Amino acid sequence: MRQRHGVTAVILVLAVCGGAILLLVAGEVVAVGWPELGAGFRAGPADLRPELFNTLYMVGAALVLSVPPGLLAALWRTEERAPRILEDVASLLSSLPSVTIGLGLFVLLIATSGWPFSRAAGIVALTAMNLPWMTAASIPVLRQVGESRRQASLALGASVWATVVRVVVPEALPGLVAVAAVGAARLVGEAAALLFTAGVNAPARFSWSPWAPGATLAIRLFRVGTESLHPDARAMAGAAGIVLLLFTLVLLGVAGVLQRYLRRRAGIVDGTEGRFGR
Amino acid sequence: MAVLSRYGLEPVLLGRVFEPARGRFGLIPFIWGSVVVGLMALVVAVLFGVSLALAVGRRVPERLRGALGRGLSIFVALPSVILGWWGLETVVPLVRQVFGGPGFSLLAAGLTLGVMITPTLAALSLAAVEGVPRLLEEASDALGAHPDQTLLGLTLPAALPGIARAVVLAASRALAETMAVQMVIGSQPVARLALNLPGSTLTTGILVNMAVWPPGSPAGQSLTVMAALLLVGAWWLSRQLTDRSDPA
Amino acid sequence: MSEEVILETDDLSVAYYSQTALRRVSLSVPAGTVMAVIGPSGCGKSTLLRVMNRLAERSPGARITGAVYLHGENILARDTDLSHLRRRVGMVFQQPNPFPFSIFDNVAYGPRLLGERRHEVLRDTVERSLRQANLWDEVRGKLRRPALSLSGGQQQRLCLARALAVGPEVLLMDEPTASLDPVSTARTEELIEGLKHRYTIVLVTHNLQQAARVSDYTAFLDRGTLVETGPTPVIFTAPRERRTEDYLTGRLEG
Repeated sequence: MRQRHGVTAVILVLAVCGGAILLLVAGEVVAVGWPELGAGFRAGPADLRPELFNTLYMVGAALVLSVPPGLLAALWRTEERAPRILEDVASLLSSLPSVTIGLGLFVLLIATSGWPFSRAAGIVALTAMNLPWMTAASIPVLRQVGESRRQASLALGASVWATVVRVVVPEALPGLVAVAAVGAARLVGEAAALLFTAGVNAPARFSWSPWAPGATLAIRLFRVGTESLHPDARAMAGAAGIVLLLFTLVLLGVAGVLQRYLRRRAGIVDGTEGRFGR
Repeated sequence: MAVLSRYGLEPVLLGRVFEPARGRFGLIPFIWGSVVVGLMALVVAVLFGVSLALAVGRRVPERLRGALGRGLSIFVALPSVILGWWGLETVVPLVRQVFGGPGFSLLAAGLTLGVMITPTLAALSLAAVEGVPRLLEEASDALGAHPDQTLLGLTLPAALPGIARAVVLAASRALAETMAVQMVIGSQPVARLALNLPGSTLTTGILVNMAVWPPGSPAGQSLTVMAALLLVGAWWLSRQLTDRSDPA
Repeated sequence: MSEEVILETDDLSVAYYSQTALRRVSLSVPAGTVMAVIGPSGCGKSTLLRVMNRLAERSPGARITGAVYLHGENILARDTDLSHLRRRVGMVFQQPNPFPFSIFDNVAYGPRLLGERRHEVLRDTVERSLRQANLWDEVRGKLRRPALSLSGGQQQRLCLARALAVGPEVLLMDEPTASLDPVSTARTEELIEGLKHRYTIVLVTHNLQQAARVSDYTAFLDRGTLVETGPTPVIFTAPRERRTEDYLTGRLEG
């Protein structure tokens, strides 16, 4: 018989190589950054804490500003049959290169309106990124809510709003958590939209001000990795990479646990938690 | 957009030189970079991503499948600066060693970007592979197909609509990516055939020139044109998604 | 009706993990006949069928002992070429399961596995198989249409054509009409009648009338054991075993 398992062999070899390369990426970050990781949490040139705080501050604020309106827009489309154009525009904008958002806001806020490179400008950029994502990615999740349960609720005399609050959102909640988590992970790793809005510096002294410079961990990794002349720059970039990696992992992990908890509470047994492409 | 009316549509869109200081705003270098880097990335990602999907979906023991799938979807969320930095550390020296030149190159960008979009392509293709009914594969086996024949002759074609969607989504990520490319491409606004030499893409071109030229200036406006091109590209790709819904 | 035995199980037992599915089944299928296998749900009918083309061993935890002879050759032997075996022993499943390809590509799938690439040969095979499955007149000129656009009954006949296209000697049919409407069921039964001179058919069915109508021999399985087998008229009118009689008169179901 001809070629028994040739195809399988080729596929397995390619898959193992692909998997190994991905692990290598993570491994290299850890290997290079590990020696400087301690220094990242002490005062000095390697200190990562200002960037870590900026990341939390800006991503947190952007989520607060973008998740509720994004969800509302999605609900408007699925529950109130808002025009299809809303969905199309949202999904187009969510696949738009983030650097174009950076360009637009740089022109609008920094160059024209005279804002400083700041957390505030960065928050606007991250909000502009996440709003279309939240809308576009929530719509299919909301659509999966069984139409019969919607109609059952409406047939009992519940208003559309009450149906949304009591039936639609609770049932879709695990999926919505996944959407929000992937959105947050996108923001945490974002740099192109922030380089010329939030800027490349972090405040020298701790501050809550939204007008303080807003460099994040991702910006620091980019900046130190490509431009720094510091002798330990390589390891410093690696350390920023480790923290960024851990940040993302913790975010997705917490979201996963939350999803499982919500599922179990809702009595949904099926364990295929959201695999989302971006 | 004044730059278009003043310099003409053709010299801008089809001009092969981008030298704002000398009043030349040709965007071909960026378009060429985006296309060639994106295509290289897709080749890499399809090779690894589809193999990963088929291997994890159909050739790996049942109990490992869930963990591997979850692992893949974590890599989907890997920040692109991390990929860019890895490209800087690993791919750039590799390209320099093997192909000569400075290492920072279209090729390095294509490879780095390819690794970056592999998890996206793999995770979405995996969902497509897992969606192929076992019943069909059993029917193929019952016709006397070898395991390899069933995999290539049935599972792969049956999963193809989903895999095509995965490829389109991966392509739109590749087109949109800025940082991972910027860190390894060498950033020269020149259209070259030699892949081992530096280049530039639409996204990195915007990033690099954004803060250099005042927004109202012709150079600043040419960046707007580049952004518009990206928008058209993203729109065209998202059209491919809706048009290619499954038959039957 | 020739009495040469083409397919024979000898002391065949199958278990999934610790659960016995078939216990020491010895059954002979004469060539060119229709053998109906009947019995209550979970009696091992489908397992018996799936041992005959060795799909059963793919189920998790399956252990198979005994022998299955095809023309006197034990197909459970370790060195059996599974592809070759499955081309000789075709199968039609309970649910119509056409591949998501065109009608033509579905039927041509098997010949292509064998390396056939010449279009004229494939075309002839496709037409002959579709004719045998009584589907040709309905799909002629529409061979490029997706198979999934056919109705359920048509899909099932397409699956039959697909199985016939590799030229099997034996056809295993696992409740082929279970998901079809009465009209499609009647057409499929007619088809079985027409095919039995050329192929040996093992038909698992829930439907006793169907077994009585189309089969020459009947085997009655209960809880993994072969209770009784013999010519269909004998089994249905004068069964030797009490359990068979009870089942046929509806006292055992469930």
